[in-house]
Amino acid sequence: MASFDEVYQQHFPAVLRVALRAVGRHDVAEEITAEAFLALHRQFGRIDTTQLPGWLLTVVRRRAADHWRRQKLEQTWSGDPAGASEPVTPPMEIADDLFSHPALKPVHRACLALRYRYDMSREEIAMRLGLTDTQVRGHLQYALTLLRKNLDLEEKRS
Amino acid sequence: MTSRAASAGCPDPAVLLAIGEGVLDPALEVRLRRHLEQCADCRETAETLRDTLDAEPAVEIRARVQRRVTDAVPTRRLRAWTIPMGLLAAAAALLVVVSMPDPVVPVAPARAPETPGSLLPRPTVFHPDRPFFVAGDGALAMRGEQSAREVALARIGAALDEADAGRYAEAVAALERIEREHPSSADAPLAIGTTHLLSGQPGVAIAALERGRARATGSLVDEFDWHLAVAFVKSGAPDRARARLVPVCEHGGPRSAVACAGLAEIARLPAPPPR
Repeated sequence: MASFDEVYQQHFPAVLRVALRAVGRHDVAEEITAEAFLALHRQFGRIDTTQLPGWLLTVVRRRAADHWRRQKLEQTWSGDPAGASEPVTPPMEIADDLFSHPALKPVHRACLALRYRYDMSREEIAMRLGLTDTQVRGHLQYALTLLRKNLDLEEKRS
Repeated sequence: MTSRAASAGCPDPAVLLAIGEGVLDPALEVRLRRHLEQCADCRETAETLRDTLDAEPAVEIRARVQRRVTDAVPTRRLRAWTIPMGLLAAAAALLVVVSMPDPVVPVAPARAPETPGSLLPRPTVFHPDRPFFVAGDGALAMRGEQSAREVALARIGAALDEADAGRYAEAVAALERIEREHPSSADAPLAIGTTHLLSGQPGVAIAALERGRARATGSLVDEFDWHLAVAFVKSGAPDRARARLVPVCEHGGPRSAVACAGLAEIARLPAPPPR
């Protein structure tokens, strides 16, 4: 019979992935993933582990539905997006086509979009993407440097 | 000031990912889908976020969530009879908020119940994982060209896929061929070392990682030091691991957070018994 730790190691990636899709941000996804495993832990002696990860995913989806109900999204949609209540003035404008520049990896694009489209602070971006503040600063610096370098190249070529 | 997204009437980017997951109010989901059809910015943001969040979770995230679970268990058990009123109020509030019960448990036939606390080993950040390689030349990628290094990195990636599938011997053989073809490169020995770690051979891993580290430059040195620290911990040499982790923690690179967590974990280890 599998131990709780073995079950955790086996199913954690799938459970976190479903949680991320369901709530769209890392900090909340980690919270409800922990809640799902805690619920499993409470019932571990009685549960048929061959039924996993279905049972865990059901807990995650229900917690996610509760999360969205608490957000009262319908009332807030017309105003500022959640998390952008203290907007930071972006240091520069970025043209739309640069967000999808082929030289950038998804994590760079995500940091750029949250920073310059949604005016989020580095701290907020870090919480949403499951990164440290230092990593977000590094990704933003790398992305902007790469974009500047490639734009210079393109200008010289043309 | 108002963000570009708010000016355009766009919703929170997180909710874009939840569309189609069965967790949103159906009427809201219809409105969101309608918005998505008309808003190229939101479509692109949703795709980018999905690609970013779909990445394999880092070891420190796995350990962090596990710690949340382990921390919650003894707290509840030890304080069962001494819950302060504030906690009772918080629990009552939680009952109101969490409105849906857990699903019905499928019961296993005739199995002895276990003690929950005994099922939870100490969480650790020292898990073998896939190495990060320093990104290739952005200018070459723009022109759709590949350097010799990028070709080698693609072959290393294929070998690491073999290792992920448990075919360690095949992976190591392929990686050793690549190292012979690129004797001055640090990439292949890094992958060889992490493959040996994955197969549970930290001693052999250390030899490959030390060999590659001598050729590494820039941020790749931190990557070697992180995997060497994992190998030293697995070999029962936490002091040698600590020496590798200190600079990685201080540099603020991609392995910085996990290296700092590793240092904290080593500091919590019990002292060795006196001789």
